[in-house]
Amino acid sequence: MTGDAHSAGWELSSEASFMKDAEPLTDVSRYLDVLPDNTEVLVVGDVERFRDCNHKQGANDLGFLGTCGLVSCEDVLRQFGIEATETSVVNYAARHGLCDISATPPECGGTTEYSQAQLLTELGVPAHAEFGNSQEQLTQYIEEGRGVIIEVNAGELWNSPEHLGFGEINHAVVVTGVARDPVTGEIEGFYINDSGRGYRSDSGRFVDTDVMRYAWEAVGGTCVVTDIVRSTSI
Amino acid sequence: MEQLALISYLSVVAGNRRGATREVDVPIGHAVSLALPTLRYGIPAYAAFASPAVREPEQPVVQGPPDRWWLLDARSGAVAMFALCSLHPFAKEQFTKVTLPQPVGTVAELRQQLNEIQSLMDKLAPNFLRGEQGEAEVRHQLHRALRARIPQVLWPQYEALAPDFMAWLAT
Repeated sequence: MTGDAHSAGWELSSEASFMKDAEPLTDVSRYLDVLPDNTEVLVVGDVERFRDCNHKQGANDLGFLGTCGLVSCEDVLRQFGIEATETSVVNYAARHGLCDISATPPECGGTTEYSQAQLLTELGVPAHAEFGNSQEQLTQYIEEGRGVIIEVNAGELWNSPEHLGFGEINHAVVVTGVARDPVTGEIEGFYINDSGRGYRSDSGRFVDTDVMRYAWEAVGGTCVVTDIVRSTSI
Repeated sequence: MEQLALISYLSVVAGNRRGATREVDVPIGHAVSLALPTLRYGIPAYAAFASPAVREPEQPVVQGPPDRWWLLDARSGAVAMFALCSLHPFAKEQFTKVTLPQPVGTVAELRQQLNEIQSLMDKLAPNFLRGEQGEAEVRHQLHRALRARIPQVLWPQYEALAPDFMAWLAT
């Protein structure tokens, strides 16, 4: 279903007029793909390459399980070629007051958008927190080659009533790509790396715009965005 | 007499976790309560708390006791107070870790239920904060909606957070 444009024999359609005026971006993959519902899309982002940056949260030597934000930071660091593991990131965060350590270990590891940005910056990838963003803005950041963590409601993201709470932000994931209609350029959805459930399919998972609206935009459109773009392959 | 000017409940919800001045520090992953109006601190305010929570796939959520809470001034939305429960608890009771029951309904139904609660709160909270009775039927409607949505195991925490509002609601 996915693959390099050359190996699949696909080329960008000459009718993709919305792309003609776009500035060429270096080192951000673009390829045609097909969604589960057989919709053809243009994917921008290193979705396949970055699948390996994700893993189930909780793989650290402190026994912290609330580490979605920290694993998201680890993911972004690795996208930028910086060696990091969940253990190294969790230990750094705990030592420097950048994650919650006040409860029992399984309940620890929670971060805020500010501490995520600070952690990334201190570990080599300058970043900042933003609020009230839209899917259009998110698309721009992905297409620019920035690392992006979004703060979401897990119940909406997973279609899981028990994780809905009262609709608040309660989880963090990394956005690795955006899918557009190849002809009109309309945003069809995004690809995410999600550490919460441990499903293989949550690495490079496609999330449509409706789910993004409820899981992310409607709960504040909060994200952490790197100040720099990826310019070299890892 | 000039009526007390209050911010809307929906704007409280929008700013609840983050707070107007970045003074509310709540780790992502904590469970955040519904905000409830209260006059117990001498100003019209909305109170809320947050609790650490462990979420595993296909497992019920296990929620620890509240570890932080805050007050938003209902006149301005500004954070009037933020405190760690270990230093300044909002309740005398010691709460314990609880396993939350499976909610009844789909995500869409629960979302709609929450919208209804927020709409009712938007209508009623100003009555309470101004010392008015409000419409009895709307009070009872909100009481029923909160009872349906807030897990029974968490109800004592809400009663402790805003005992005045909860008592007013039940009259």
